[in-house]
Order: sequence, then structure tokens, then C-alpha cells
Amino acid sequence: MLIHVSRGALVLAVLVAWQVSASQSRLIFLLFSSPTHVAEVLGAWSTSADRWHDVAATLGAATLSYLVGSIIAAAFTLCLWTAPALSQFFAPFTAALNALPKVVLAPLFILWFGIGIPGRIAFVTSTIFFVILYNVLSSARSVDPLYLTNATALGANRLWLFREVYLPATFGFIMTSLRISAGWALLATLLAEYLGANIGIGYRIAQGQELLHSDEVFAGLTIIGIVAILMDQGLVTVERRFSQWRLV
Amino acid sequence: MRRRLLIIGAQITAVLGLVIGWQWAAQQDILDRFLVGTPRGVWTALLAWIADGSLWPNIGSTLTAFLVGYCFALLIGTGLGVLLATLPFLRQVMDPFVAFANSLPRLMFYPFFAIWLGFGLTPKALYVVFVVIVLVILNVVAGVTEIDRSLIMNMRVMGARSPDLIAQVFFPAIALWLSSAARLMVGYGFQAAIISEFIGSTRGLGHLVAQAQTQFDVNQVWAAIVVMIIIAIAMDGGLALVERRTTVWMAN
Repeated sequence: MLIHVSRGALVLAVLVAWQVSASQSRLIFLLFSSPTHVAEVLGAWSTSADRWHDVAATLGAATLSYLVGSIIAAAFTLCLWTAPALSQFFAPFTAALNALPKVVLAPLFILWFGIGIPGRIAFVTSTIFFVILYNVLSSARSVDPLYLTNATALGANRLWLFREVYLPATFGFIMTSLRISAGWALLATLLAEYLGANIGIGYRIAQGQELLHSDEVFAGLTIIGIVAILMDQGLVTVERRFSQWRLV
Repeated sequence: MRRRLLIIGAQITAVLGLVIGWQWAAQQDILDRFLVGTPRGVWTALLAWIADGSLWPNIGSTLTAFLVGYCFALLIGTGLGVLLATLPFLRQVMDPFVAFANSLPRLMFYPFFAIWLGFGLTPKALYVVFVVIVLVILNVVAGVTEIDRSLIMNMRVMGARSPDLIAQVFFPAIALWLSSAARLMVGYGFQAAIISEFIGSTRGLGHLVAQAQTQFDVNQVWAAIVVMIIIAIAMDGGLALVERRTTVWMAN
């Protein structure tokens, strides 16, 4: 109980300090605006259809990119999983691409695909691809070899092994990596919008920064925070629902 | 052994085939040279940077911003993490806020630092600190809270004092968690250093990319990407080596 009160008190203290320092210092006000201004902007935005379009655009782009990206990653992971030789072949290339800061691919994707959805999908795919790939492959490698040896000794073929041993064993990891990539997909979509777009919350934040409207920037960040928390809670619920058959 | 050689041979063939195919397709105008660039163009751009000596200051600028920020993030983050780990009440209160800070798109915050401090090394380093410190805190807290309490109690019974405990228990635990998360944190920090050079910079790898973008020169973008990949692989490889050496004592 005390913990919740302390958290509330902490949030309140930060808000008060923010408000006071913003009214005292031009610099703070310029950089961070003030809680009252941000609340005003949020109020104005909640009644503006354009801003809801932005939210929808971001969420839509994030969802689409996430689906496309995870399907591509899943297909590639499957290929590497079933053919260890392919896995060895691609290892240095995936390591090199993984080490590359994906953010520098954004200008390339904008040049090739424009600032619309395809560029967004490409950028998000490049970000979540490796998360899914490495998580799933490392979980596949950590399956208890005892299960595999026993099943093979009893006559199981590779398809059976895959369906009855690998999939259930790696299910938890797959679910977790899918959930983490969803968060990454949202962040990557926002970053892509921030770097080059004409719609979406990330774009509004970039606009606010260019015009030095810090209240708009923080209003956008608040929206992102709320969306991220809701999405994460939703995905945790989904993950729990699908993991009910597991003992752990 | 033979399979390894075969695979390496296949990899080299694939890379050569890709580069040659790319050059040929660009020359035959199957691929738009303007959009995709050519291997020869990339090579020329790289050589030009090396020849006029501009590559090294740019790499140095990015790496300086990254290393300064990363070291400060480690120092401050470790301090804050230990503080949180040793005060359970504070940790429980701060838990959701730290998780929230972790899910923020911190990479988008550079303009704040630029408006506040201008365009020198300080805002770039502070921005790297800002991006990395949350990860440091999370890992340090995890490392310290995972330490077996009975181990500490046993050591105290046998006469260990605080400096001994710090050196023999806390430091290895923190170092272990930080080094296993190092590759993620380094990746993030390096990205932050590059993003900080996208606007208002006159040096650095990010600046090279931004410059190439304004000149619509895709070959320069590719060249900058090649340089970044080489640096990133070098750092990643170095970290993997360090990780292997420092975890030699572990059971698995």
C-alpha cells in the first residue's frame, strides 16, 4: 500500500517540480514545456480527428510491419532451423547485419520506398528480424537433447520431432520473442515516422521539435507511453492465455 | 573440417557473386544506378575518404562521443543500480518507472540535448548516457539482487569486511551481467552516437550519412554503412572475446 502511495507521491512531486521550474526558467519551459500546457495540448488533440488519424496511422503501420516482419523472420528462421548448413552459411552475414545500427538504413529505405508504408515495413522488419531469429534459434539449440535422442530411438522422424518436441519446448521463447518484437515494432515505427513521414505520432513529435513546441512533443510522448503500456499488457494477457497448457 | 571449408567457400562465392551481379546489373541499367549505387561507386567513395584523410576524424568523432557516453553511463548507472538494489523499498517504488523509461523511444530525444547544450561533444555524450543508462541500471539491479544472500552471510561469518565483499562478490556479479548485456548496450550506444550526428554536426559517421543524403549520393551512404559494419563487428567481436575470457570460470 505504502508503495503505491510513494509512487503516486513521486509522480506528483515530479509534476509539481516540472510546473514550478517551467514557470521560473525560460530554458526549462523551452525544453520541456509545462504540465498544464501539455495537458492543454492533449485536451485539444483528443477532440481533433486529425490526431486520431495519426494514432491510427501509427498503430496500423506498426501492426502491419510487425505481421510482415515476423512472418519473414519466421520463414527465414524455419529455413535456418531445419538446415544447419544454411545456418552456418548465413552466420557471418546475419552477425554483420545485426551489428549494423539499423537507423542508418532508414535513409536508404526512404530513398527506395518513399516515406509511406513500404519504407516503414522495411525498417521495422530490419529491426525485429534479428530479435526473432536469434531468440528462436538459440531456444531451439537449448532443447534438452535427451528428448530428441529418446524420440529418435523410438522411431520419430524429423517432422514428428519438430511438431511434438521442438515446438512445445520452444513455445515459451517464441511467445516471449514475439511479444518483445511487438514492442520493438512500435518503437521502430515511431522512429521511422520521426525520421521521415507525413503522418503518425512520430511525425507529430518531429514536427513539434522542429517548431520548438515542446508541449506537442510531450503530448506525443504521453500518447506513446499510454499506447505502449496498453499494448504490453494486452500482449502479456495473450501470452498467458496461450501458455495455459504449460506447467511453468 | 571439409564442410567448414566448403561453407566458407560458398560464402565467399556468394559475396563475390552478389557484388559482381550488382555491378553488372547497375551497368546494364537493370538496377537504377541512382537509387541503388554501384560497388565501384562505393569503393571510390571509400577511397576518396581515406585519401583526403577525412575518414579517420569522422570515425574518431563518433567513437569519442560513444565511448565517453558509454563510460559515464556505466559509472552512473552502476551507482544508481547498486542504490536501487540495496534499498528494496526504493526499488519497488521505482520499478514501474524504470520499466517505463526502458520502453520509451529514447533514441528520439536527441533534439532536447541539442537545444539545451548546442552541437558539441557534451550533448552527444549526454544523449548516449541517456540512452544506455536505463539498460545499465536494469542489469546492475538484476545482478546484485541475484546474489545469494547466504553467500554474503557466510563470508561475513568468516570475517570478510565490506571492501572484500565488494571486490569478491558484488563486482563479479555486476561485471557478469554488464558484460553479457554489453553487446546490446554497445549496439544501442553506437546507434545513439550516430543519430546524434544526423543534425547539426560537421563530423562523424552519422554526419557522413546525412551529408550523403542531402547530396542524394547513395554510394556514400553505402560506404558509410560499410565503415559502420566494420566498426560494429570489431566492437562486437572484441566484446565476445572479453565475454569468453571473463566467463571461463562459469560452469556452462
